[in-house]
Amino acid sequence: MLEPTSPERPARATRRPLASLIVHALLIATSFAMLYPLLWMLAASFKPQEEIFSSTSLIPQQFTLDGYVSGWSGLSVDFGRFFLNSLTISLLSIAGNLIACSLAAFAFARLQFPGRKPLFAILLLTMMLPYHVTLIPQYVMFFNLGWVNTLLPLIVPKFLAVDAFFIFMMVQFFRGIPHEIQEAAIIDGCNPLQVYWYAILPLSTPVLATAAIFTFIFTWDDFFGPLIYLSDVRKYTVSLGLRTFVDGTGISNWGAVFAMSCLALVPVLLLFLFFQRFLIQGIATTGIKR
Amino acid sequence: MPSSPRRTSQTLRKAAPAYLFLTPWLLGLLGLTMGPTLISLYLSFTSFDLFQAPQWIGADNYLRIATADPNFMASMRVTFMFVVTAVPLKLCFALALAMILNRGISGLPVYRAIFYLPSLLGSSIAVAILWRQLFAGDGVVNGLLAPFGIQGPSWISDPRYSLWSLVLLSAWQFGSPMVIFLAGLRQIPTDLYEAASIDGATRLRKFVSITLPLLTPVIFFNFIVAMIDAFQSFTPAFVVSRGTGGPLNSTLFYALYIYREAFGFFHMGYASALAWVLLVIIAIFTAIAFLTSRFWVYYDA
Amino acid sequence: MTRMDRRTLLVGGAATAAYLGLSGFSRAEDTLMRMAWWGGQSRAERTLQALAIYAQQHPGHTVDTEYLGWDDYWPRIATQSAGGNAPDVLQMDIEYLAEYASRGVLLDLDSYVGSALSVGDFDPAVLDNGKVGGKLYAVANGVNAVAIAYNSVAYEEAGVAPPDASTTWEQFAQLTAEFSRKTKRQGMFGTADGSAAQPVLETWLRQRGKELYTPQGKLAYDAGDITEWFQMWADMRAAGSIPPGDIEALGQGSIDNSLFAQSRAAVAWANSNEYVAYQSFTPDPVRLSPYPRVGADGKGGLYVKPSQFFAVSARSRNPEAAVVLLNFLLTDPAATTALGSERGIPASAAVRQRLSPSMDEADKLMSDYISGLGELAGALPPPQPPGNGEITDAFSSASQEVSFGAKSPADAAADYIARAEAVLTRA
Repeated sequence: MLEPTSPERPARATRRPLASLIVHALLIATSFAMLYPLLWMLAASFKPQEEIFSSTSLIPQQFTLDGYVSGWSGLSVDFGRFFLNSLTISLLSIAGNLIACSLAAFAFARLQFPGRKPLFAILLLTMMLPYHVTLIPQYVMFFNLGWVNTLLPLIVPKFLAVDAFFIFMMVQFFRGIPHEIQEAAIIDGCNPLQVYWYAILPLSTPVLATAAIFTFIFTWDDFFGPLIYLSDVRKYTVSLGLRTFVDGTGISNWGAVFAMSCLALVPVLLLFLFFQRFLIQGIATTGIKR
Repeated sequence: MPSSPRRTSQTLRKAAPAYLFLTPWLLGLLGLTMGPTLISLYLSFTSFDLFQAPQWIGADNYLRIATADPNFMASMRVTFMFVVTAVPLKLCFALALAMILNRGISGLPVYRAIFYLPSLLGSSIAVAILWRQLFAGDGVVNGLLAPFGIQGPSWISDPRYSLWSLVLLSAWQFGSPMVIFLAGLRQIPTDLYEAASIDGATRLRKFVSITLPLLTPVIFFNFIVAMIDAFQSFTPAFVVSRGTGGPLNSTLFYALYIYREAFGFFHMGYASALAWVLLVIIAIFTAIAFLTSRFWVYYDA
Repeated sequence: MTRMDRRTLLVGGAATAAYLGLSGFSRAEDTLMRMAWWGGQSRAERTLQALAIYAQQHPGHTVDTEYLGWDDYWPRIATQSAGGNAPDVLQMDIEYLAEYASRGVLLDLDSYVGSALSVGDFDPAVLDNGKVGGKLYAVANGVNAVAIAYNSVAYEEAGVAPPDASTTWEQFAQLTAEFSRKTKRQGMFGTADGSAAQPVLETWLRQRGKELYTPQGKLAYDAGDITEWFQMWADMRAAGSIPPGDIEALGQGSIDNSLFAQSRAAVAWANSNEYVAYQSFTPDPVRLSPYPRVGADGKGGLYVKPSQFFAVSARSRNPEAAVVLLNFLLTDPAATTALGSERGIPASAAVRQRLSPSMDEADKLMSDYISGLGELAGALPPPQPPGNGEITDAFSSASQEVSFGAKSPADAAADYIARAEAVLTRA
């Protein structure tokens, strides 16, 4: 069986070459299975449309950059604009979720107060209603606020912790932080805000990094929200722009879909690589002793 | 009220900071979530075609769901099958890889990124074509099976198998629970392992008595979230079956059925009733999970 | 939080608000309109070009555009309409026209006809198709007719004569089966399965003197018709003319997902204006031909219909200006030249005439197809009742039940009729 080891400590596997070889062989095989569909997508982005639909080969028979050229500037607004819009929404959403959700999660995980259990049940219930049936009343509400066709309906809810998933996730992690730390802080005269800020948050980098990554990916991939609230093409996001190339009743530009899908992965991957270093900074490596 | 003024003020003083922390969420709940939710509950008792004023029809929608809707049963069956297969598959896969990746092997960041890549793709429109190329009768998967003498079916378009190609799609995108598991594993203090090593514990012993118990809050979280997610699964089927839920309704996920009723056929009242039925079902399963959690989930307290 | 932090946050917040809030209020004095359509890139280019001309001719008028693919267009239009925020001018389809018009979403255009809206030279039958309950709610921006699109080179290679205007269903079944046997293109069938498509059924019914619906909005056919219909296709499936169910199911939903696009079928059940789309999936020349007929001397069952419409929202803040824009798109020489035949052959005779010299090959092919239909095309059918969308869905499910062998043609037909009648009673 396996156990976690900190990066500083030499892992058992590296001391046993055969075991290490087997692990790597397995990982590489899994990686290939994981990557094959994406490699096919990359290959498809260089194929002309007829070939995309008739061949499963990883190597284009006819190499073309058309997908990238017609994808980037084929719509009336170039794709760079969509990237900017998506980035704006995603980054602001990260800020909103990290602040608002961690505040609420701290209260649920670490404070005793009347109404805690029923409120937590309500929190969970808000995750359970399929969103299609609240869409119309929500649209009417944002329309009356004058927010339709602005980025506000996609961002403001994040600052009001509407995404219960993140609160729930943080609650689970905050509850795992040893109580001694909080008690020590209270004895030192910290008020709840200081406990939150100086004791809990610094020990929560993995879950905060996780929340940041997920928020980015969820908002980056979301097409239904932008579809409903951003009607002007100049405000489209990447995921919506991608779908604009596809029209089931007429001519679609699948070369552009695949080319721009490949490009759209780049920022998400970069962000993931940037944040993943924080994933491994937990209690395990900060040297807190119980 | 029975409580004395002094006790009330004490409770208030105790509650005040908590509610201060909850303010953004409460504002969101009361201002953004609550209204539309209650309206959808009201609409579930009406006949509402999106454009004209809703007509109150009492419990008719619910009666029809219970007694006269073959699609309700069909989509329930599909959704339950999906939940009981996709959730364990995805979580086991995610946990196993998180454990392997947590060993401090070389190239760790690269593997982690590679395993996460499919999840980054999400439900991009490109997935529809991708999945067809993989799982069609003459697709890549059957090409790989052919050397072993297996003549595979058209996985994605044969009603006996089409759901499984979506289960695989969900398992393929195991990156999110994997990352959560990784973060959870990182939160287990290393001195526990060191102490256990000194006591001469085997690796299996350490896994069973340290890793698993301390990971239970995260396992619990991943389970609840994956279950709620699977019950509401919409986009994969919407993208792969182009919104049809076909062939033969074999991928008619419950949420897809709701969507079709609401936006395809303009039965928003009926769709709302369907949605509330789903909410009750999910809530029951979640409540059961929470009730059992006290027996197997360990919080540091 | 330190003071520094708070100030940074405030400044950041203000900047963000400025960026987010910029839109919407900046052009309050001008006439601001929104126009929405579904379609691909070339439609967007042409429409934007036409709108640029409009902006030149109408200083102070701004038209914001909202365009998407078909699948995404409808949920958005539905949400916007439900919220009272539908675009001023919007593209409409026959499938949804009755649903929207009968529920008060669209503006009644009758009072503008002859003044702001000059549709005098439109074919009256085509114009009638934009009416719901006797009132004009939408104007056709192009016409088309159903057609099969076939890969001419594939048929030539196989040494099989392709279908033409005189081909009967029997002959069609034979020649497509022969194609499937003879072709060297791996996995290509003589034709895609048309048994699930309501327009194909409609044509076949009309050839037999029936319709989909009575003028009162009831079913105009019975289980016997549908049993025969499913049986005809089951025979074709057995003979290899059409692919088995599990291959056919790979091609559901849209043109780019069709078996024709995947090179699995040499014939697609299409509309004439979709010709360019089908052509984009193969380097071989694609040709159009009418659907097969019941008898070589019988009726064609076809009709020339609006390919799509433009309509005006009932809640438009500038209905007059919106109608002016609508009229501009349908009749202005420069605008119609920019739009071409991309949405279908223009419904206005004058526009057709003006465009014909400059038509490219594809436009000519579509235009010739329609003008060459002659006696094959008949009168327009009675309008579709609300609930037709659900019936279409039930019909394609029933057809799949037959193709996967889950039900016999007779059972599937009986169950389908029962479901369709239940939908009509409820609607």
